[in-house]
Amino acid sequence: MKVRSPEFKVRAAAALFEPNLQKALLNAKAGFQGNRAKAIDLVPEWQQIRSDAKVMKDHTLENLDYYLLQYEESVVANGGKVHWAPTAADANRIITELCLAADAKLVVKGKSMVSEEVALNDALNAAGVETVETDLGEYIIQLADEPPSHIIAPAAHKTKEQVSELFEKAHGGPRIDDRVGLVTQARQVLREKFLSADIGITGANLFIASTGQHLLVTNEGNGDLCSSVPKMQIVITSIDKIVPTLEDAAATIRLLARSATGQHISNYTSLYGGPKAEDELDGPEQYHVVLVDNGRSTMLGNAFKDMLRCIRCGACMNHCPVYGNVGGHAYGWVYPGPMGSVLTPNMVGLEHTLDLPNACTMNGRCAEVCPMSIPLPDLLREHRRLQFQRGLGTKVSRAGLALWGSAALKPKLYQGLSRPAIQLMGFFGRKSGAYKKLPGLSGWTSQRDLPAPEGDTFMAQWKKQQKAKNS
Amino acid sequence: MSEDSTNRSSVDQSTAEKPAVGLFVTCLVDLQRPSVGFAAVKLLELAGCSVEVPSAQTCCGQPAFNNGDFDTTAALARQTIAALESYDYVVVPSGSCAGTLKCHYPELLADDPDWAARARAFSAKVHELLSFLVDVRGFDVSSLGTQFDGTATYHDSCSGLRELGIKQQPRTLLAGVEGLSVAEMEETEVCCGFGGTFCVKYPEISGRLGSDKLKNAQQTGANILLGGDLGCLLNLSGRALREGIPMRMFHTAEVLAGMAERGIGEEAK
Amino acid sequence: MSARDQIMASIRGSLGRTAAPAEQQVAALQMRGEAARRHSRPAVSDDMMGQLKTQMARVQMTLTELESEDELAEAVASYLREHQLPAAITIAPELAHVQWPESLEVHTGAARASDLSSVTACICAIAETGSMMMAASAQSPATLRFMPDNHMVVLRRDQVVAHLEDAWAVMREQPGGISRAVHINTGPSRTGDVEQVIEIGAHGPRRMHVFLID
Repeated sequence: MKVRSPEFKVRAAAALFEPNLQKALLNAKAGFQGNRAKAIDLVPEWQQIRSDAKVMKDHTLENLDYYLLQYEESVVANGGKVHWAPTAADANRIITELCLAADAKLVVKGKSMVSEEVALNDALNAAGVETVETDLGEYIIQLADEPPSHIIAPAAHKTKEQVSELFEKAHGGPRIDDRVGLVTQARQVLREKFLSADIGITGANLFIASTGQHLLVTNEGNGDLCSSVPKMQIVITSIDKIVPTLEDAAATIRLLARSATGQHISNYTSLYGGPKAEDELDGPEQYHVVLVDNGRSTMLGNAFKDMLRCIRCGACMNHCPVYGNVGGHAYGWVYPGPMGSVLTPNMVGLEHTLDLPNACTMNGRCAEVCPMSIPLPDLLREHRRLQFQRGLGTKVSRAGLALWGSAALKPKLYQGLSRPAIQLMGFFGRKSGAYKKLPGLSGWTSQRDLPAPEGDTFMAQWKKQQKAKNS
Repeated sequence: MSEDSTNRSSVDQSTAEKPAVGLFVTCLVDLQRPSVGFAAVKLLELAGCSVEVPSAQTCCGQPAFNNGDFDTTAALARQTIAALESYDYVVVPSGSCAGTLKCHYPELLADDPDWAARARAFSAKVHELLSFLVDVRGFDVSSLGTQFDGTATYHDSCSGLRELGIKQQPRTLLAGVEGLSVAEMEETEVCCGFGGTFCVKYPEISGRLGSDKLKNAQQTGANILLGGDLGCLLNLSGRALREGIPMRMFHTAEVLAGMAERGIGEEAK
Repeated sequence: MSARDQIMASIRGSLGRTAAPAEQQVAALQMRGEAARRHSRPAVSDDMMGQLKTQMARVQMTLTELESEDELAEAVASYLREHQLPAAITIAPELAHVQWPESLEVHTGAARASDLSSVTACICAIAETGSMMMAASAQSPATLRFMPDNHMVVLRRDQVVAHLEDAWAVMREQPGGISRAVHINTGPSRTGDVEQVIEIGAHGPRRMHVFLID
């Protein structure tokens, strides 16, 4: 997917004034925040469950090589095959070759962010394999030819009217205006695809080293149809999603649904571990798992290691005031919001994503709601540190901050210079109480007045008072 | 008004006599609104502390820190620690600056053998003003007889809330002010859009957040907005003026100390 | 260097190792795996059945209580009539022993595209979440749980367990080991993808009904 993160500022500012998007965002925010809060209120053990999961995942990452190899052994023992993909290109090559070897014409897909990350659909389409997204949200954005705007609700930015239009265009009339009708039509159209597809490709929410199973959760059931009807099952996932045991998986399952949608458990929570047994009447004959690295093994050894605990629940973006006002597309790639702002620079390069770590107020709500205790604001600040170190970022702000910093390190000079400036600003601002405009401060005054300073500094007044006291 | 506070709380056992407080005024209070600093001094003295304001202080370093310049921040940290570490307590009339001193200074200096222990010791002494008055001094505002008529609503600044757990304390203190009632707004814990340099780097998004916060504030029927962080208050007051929303704003300390005459952004009387 | 070796080298480099974990560490990891320790979990009511029913109702699952399996055939026929569904079901082979009425058209096997109603058993029900756990096998085809519009599950009272972890224990104890496809289904299919309003009947069944046998 083309990286449009350099356009963040412009797209975000425009997004603030798109009525459909703003309506959709308000809707989504109310639902996601409210439902999660309700679900967590019912679990007094929540903080304990959360900290157990952090310990488990940190342990897993410390021993990632061991567990990945154990996983492969388990999958092979189950009759499946594991493919290793160091890069996005490797993942696409492996899966394209599997499809071509099977002479596949049609692939049905479950929602997979990793497949978006590597741009799998484009690779398959280029090789002449048709891909149909079956998650309703992914299907909608596939019809709209847009990237997802949220990691669990990819079409969260679309209104019902927009969906009606898309369906009318893609399926032919008559136009359907009610939600039930739209869902029913999607069910009918996509059922045909499930039944005629050669291969089903899904992601995995996690996979388990000791049993060789992967977990797939959906509310629609599309993931299970992808995994049960076609003759070949391909799972594309990333190396960081592994957990050691079924018990470790249970800990994650408890956090995931509640954090994402406020459900106790996702409607369809399935564990798959291999091709069908010989005497089974349905199920795939081949089971392939593609493990993608794409920069994660590097993150394991740097300041961003904690990010590998992410279970892709979306709680951070659901509670982020910036995401909640500009939506996901402004971030310009696959992963939006706080987690996207940490991941994207790591995956596509900091130089292309300068705004993402900076478009954050450091309010900390994301870290509060993260079920895996990822210190997102600290990680974003780390990206800012790297930007500073590499000299990236606008010249104006660097110079201004450098000036401020060096003055602040010389208290006498700072106090000597600031006093007259403040006296001046205070004097001229007395009458109105605030400035509407000030040269050099348009960043502030474009959006708000600047209250006038009182007219003398505290330090100067305090000094005077202390002198008077002691004399 | 009583001269000295008789609220020697059983919580505070640090010194038999008056605990010595070093006040870190913060750059915004120093430059923009010194009255907050003077209100802080008054309240701390009434709470039975002696207060000094060492002159070798300027800025906590947040702007440098949040823009990735950790070296400058560490230098400012050393300067600040050196100026204030000798006091029993270091009190700050701002949640975000207190958070920087308390939470981030030790992180920044963790690998500096000369400063790591000093930073940790310093951190243990740092308190935000309002939480200090309640949690450490058990200060009873009603003993002051402060009067301030009106209905106010309260904005919970993010750093104070999430780094330092400041939530109930301001409300406890304001409950002791005669004539004042506090009406809670929706989304009181949602960011106001200040975020330090965020508000000038992404002004449109910041403006929208401020606007939303003011809508919530107005819906309570209150015509006064209070908070514990001058950055948030300057942001919101500036936005209110721009939108023509009549909402008087003060730092909580000013109201408590009976020093709330001219609101933020109001013309001089 | 194979792709796997490449990834392993990168992982080990990041972890500060040049090779696989040492023998002692491996032994510790094996022990951890075998211990299969359970983590903190939400309390489940002593009244497990009560909690199961509450959770099921939350997700629009419906329930019929029967005194014995003898009542099942008629109960299924009755359910179909009640919902004005054709008197035709596809059943999992594990239910072939049931004396289905003559009036009911019964197909045994995997789901067919035209099937509207299916009946399967399950390996347990989980009170914590209100879920039915089913294991795919020759006796219980996976597609029966996802393709037909109406999915009916036969559950015995003694199959109800408290937590997910208890369900894992049941899963492990199945003859033939852990099935290649274990499904934990909690209600009829739903989606919130149009304006975040939940609608029932996305791709999986529109109805999920449980027959609870004493």
